[in-house]
Amino acid sequence: MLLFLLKRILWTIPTLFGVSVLVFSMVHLVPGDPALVILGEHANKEALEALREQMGLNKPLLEQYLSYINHILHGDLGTSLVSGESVLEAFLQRFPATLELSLSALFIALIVGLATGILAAIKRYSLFDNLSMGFALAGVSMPVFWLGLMLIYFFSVKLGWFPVFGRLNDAYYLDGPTGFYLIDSLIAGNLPAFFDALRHLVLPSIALATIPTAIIARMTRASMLEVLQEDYVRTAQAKGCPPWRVILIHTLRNALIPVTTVVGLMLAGLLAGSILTETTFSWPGVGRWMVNALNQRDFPIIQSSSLIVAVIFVGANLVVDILYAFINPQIRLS
Amino acid sequence: MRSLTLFCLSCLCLWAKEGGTLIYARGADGSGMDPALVVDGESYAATSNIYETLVRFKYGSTEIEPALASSWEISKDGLTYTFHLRHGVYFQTTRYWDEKSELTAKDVLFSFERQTGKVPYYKGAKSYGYWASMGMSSIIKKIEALDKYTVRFTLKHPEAPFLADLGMDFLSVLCADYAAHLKDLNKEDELTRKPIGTGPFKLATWFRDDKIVLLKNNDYWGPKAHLDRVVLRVIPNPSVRALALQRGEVSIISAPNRNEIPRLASLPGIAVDEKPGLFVTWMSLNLEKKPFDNRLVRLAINHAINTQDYVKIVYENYATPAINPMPPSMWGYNKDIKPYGYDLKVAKELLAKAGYSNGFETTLFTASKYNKQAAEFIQAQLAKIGIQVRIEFFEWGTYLKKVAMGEHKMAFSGWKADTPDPDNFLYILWSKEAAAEIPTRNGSFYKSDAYSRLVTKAKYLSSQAKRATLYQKAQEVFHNDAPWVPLAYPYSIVARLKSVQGYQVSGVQINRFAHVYFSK
Repeated sequence: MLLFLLKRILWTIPTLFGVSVLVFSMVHLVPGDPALVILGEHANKEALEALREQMGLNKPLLEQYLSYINHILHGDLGTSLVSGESVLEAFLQRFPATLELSLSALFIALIVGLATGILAAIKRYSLFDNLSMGFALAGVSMPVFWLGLMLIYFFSVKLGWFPVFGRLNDAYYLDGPTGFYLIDSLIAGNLPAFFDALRHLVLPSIALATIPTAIIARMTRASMLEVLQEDYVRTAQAKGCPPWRVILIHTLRNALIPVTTVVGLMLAGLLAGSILTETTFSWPGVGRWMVNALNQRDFPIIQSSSLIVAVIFVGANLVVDILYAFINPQIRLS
Repeated sequence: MRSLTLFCLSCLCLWAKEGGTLIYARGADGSGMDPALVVDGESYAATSNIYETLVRFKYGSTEIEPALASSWEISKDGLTYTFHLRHGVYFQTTRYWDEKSELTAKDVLFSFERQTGKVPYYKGAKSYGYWASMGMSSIIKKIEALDKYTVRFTLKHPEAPFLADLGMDFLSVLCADYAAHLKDLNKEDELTRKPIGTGPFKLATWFRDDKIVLLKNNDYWGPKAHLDRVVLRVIPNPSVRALALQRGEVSIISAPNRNEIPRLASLPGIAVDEKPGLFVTWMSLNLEKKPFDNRLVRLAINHAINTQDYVKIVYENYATPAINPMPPSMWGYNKDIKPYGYDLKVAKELLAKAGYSNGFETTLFTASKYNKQAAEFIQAQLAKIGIQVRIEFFEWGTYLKKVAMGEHKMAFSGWKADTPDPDNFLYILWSKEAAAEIPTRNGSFYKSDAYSRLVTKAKYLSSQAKRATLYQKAQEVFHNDAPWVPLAYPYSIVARLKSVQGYQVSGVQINRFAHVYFSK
C-alpha cells in the first residue's frame, strides 16, 4: 500500500511539470502584445517599453520560464500586473466565496441527484423515471448562463423571492475569520446576515448544481439498476428482508461506490467551472477573477490560477485514487 | 411670517436632497486606487471621488474650473504656470489614517515628482503609464514650491493643453505625509488599496470584484456631497444589471445592452439618459498601402458608405453619424464641414477617375470584441462600387498590435477623450509626429505637413480663441484629405431610477457623485 501511495504521489510531479509548461507557453504563444493590451490605445512607445521591461517580456522565453518556476518553488506566485496585488493573497481572498458556492452546489447535487436516481431506479420505466431522466438530460445540456438568467428573471424579478446579484446585501458587513458568509454570520451571531447570505446563495447554487445533479442522478440510477440485478439482492429479497432495507443497505451501499469516486472530481470541477455562474450572478469568487485576468492579459494571474486549478484537479484525482484503493484492494495490487 | 415659511420650505428642499445610498452598478471593478498607476476608466470611478486635482472639469462639461488651486497665472511666453493652493483643505481621516493633515505644496510636489522619477516610491518599479502616455516628462522641466501654498511649473516648451492635463485623474494630489507613513512601515503598496485624498467622498471598504463603499466626507472644503454613501457594485452581465435596476436593488447602471433600452425606458420607475459622449469611431485607411494613397479612392469610399444606416444597424440609433475627428461637444469643433454624403454614382465616378473602374480587392481588420455586423456592413456597402472586402478577425491584443504596427489596409478605430482639449484628438491621433511613432496611434499614417503645422502651432498658443481657429482650419484640411471614413459619435448611456437626480452622462469624469441626490 505504501509503495502504491508513493508511486501515485511521485506521478503527480511530471503531470504538474507538464501543466506548468503548458500554462506558461499558452500565455506566451498567443499573439499580441500584453503591454499594449494593458495600456490600451492610449499607450505610446515610452510607456509600452517601460511596461514590457517591468513585465520581463524582453527576456528570452526560457529565462522567463525558469524564473517563473523558481518563484513558484519559493512560494511566490507573482503579483498582478494590473492591480499590483499578490496573486496568492488575491486567490486566497476570493477562494472562500467560490468554495462556499461549490459546496452548496455539491450539497444540492448530492441530495437531489441521489434521491432522483434511487427513485428512478426503483420505479424503473415509470412516469417519474422518464420525466426525471428527461430533466437530467436537459440539465446536462442546458447552458449555465442561460439557466442563471432565467432563474434570476423568474425567482428574483417576477416573484421577488431572491436577490438578483452578489453575496450579501449592503446593509450587512461581515469580516469574519473564515470568509464563508454562512459561517461568519453565525460566528458573529448575526442571524439576519445569515439568512441574507443564504438567500443570495440559493439561485447560483441551483444553477451551478444543475449539471452535477443530472450526472449523479443518471449514474445513481444506472448503478442501482445494476446492483438490483445482483444475486445477493435477490437473496435478501427472497429471505423476506423489508424493501427499504434491501434498497438502503444491500443495494445503495454498493451502488454508491462508483458515485463516491466521481464526487471528489466533481468538487474539483465545480471549483474550476464556476466561471459562468459567478459571472452571471456577480459572485465575487475565483472564476470571475480569472475571467477578468484573461480579459486584461494579467499574465501572473492567468498562469498561477491555472496552475492552482490544475493542482486542485491533480490533488482530487490523487485522493480519489487513494480512497478507491482503500475501498477496492484489487486496484492497488494491479 | 411669509418669509419664515419660505425659509422653512427652502430648508426643507435643501434637506430633501440630502442623504441616501447610491448603488452604481458597472461591469468590472477598478484595478487600483493610486490614480497615477492605473490606466483603466473603472478605477477612476472611485478615485475621482476620493482625490482631487489642481484644476478640474466642470461636472458634465469640458470647461476648466479651480479645484485644489484657487487661482493661477500663466506667464506670457506660456512657459511658467503658478498655482495658488486653496487654504484650509485637509486630507481625509479614515480608520487607516487618522492624522489631520493640511494640503500644502509638498503634497503637490510629491504627487508629481514620484511620476517624474525624482522621488522614487514603491518597492518594485511601477510603471506610471499615463504620465508616459501623455509625454509629461517631455513637457515639464521643473516643479518647485515657492511657498507653502504656491507651486510653479516650468515647461520645456509652450503647451496649451497643459492646464487641461492638470485636471486629469492621473495628476491627482496625494497626501505626502500618508505616503511617507506607509513607506516607514514598509507598506508602500497599500497606497494603491487605501487611498487618502481631499475629495467629497472617502473610502470605507473595498471588496475586490464585488463592491467599493465610499462615505461622504463631512470635512470636505467645498460644497459637501448630498449622498451619505456610494456603493460601486460589480455586476458583469449587462442583463443582470438591468434586472437589478428593475428590482430597485441598484440605483444606476452603466452600459446597458442597447436592445434592452426600450424595455427599461418603458418601466415606470426607470429613466434612461443618452447623450453623445466624447467619443468618435471611424475606419482608418492606411495611406501607406495602395490604393489608399490615392485621395480619389478615399473619397469614393467615403461616398459609398451610408453612415445613417451604419448608425441605425450597428448602434441601433444610439449614436449620430460622425463628421470630424473630434466630437461636436468639444470646443473648436468645425460646424461648417459637411459630410461627403452617400452617393454611389459619385463614388463610382471617383473610383473610375482614380483608375479603378472595376474596383479592387482589399482587407478590413477587425477585433472579435467589435460588432461583427459593422464589418459586414462595410463589406456590403463597398461591394456596391466594386470593392471586394475580405474581413479579417483578430483577438483584441493581436488586433491592437497589428494596427499599431500598420499591417492593415483598412481597420476600425475609436477614441474617447480623457481630457477635454482638441489636442487630445487632433494632434495625438492625426499629426505626422503621431504617424512617425511605431507603434502608432495614427492608424491611417496620415502625414500632412499642412495639417500638422496647424495642430502643432495650436499646441503652443495660450489663447483658446486663436487655438480654436487653428483647429477649425485643421479640420478643413483633414476633411479635404479624407484619410479615414468617419463612422459614429456613440452615445453615452446610463439607466437610473427616476429618483436619482443630478447625474450627467456627458463630459469627462462623469462618475463624480458629489452632485447626485435622490428626489424624495
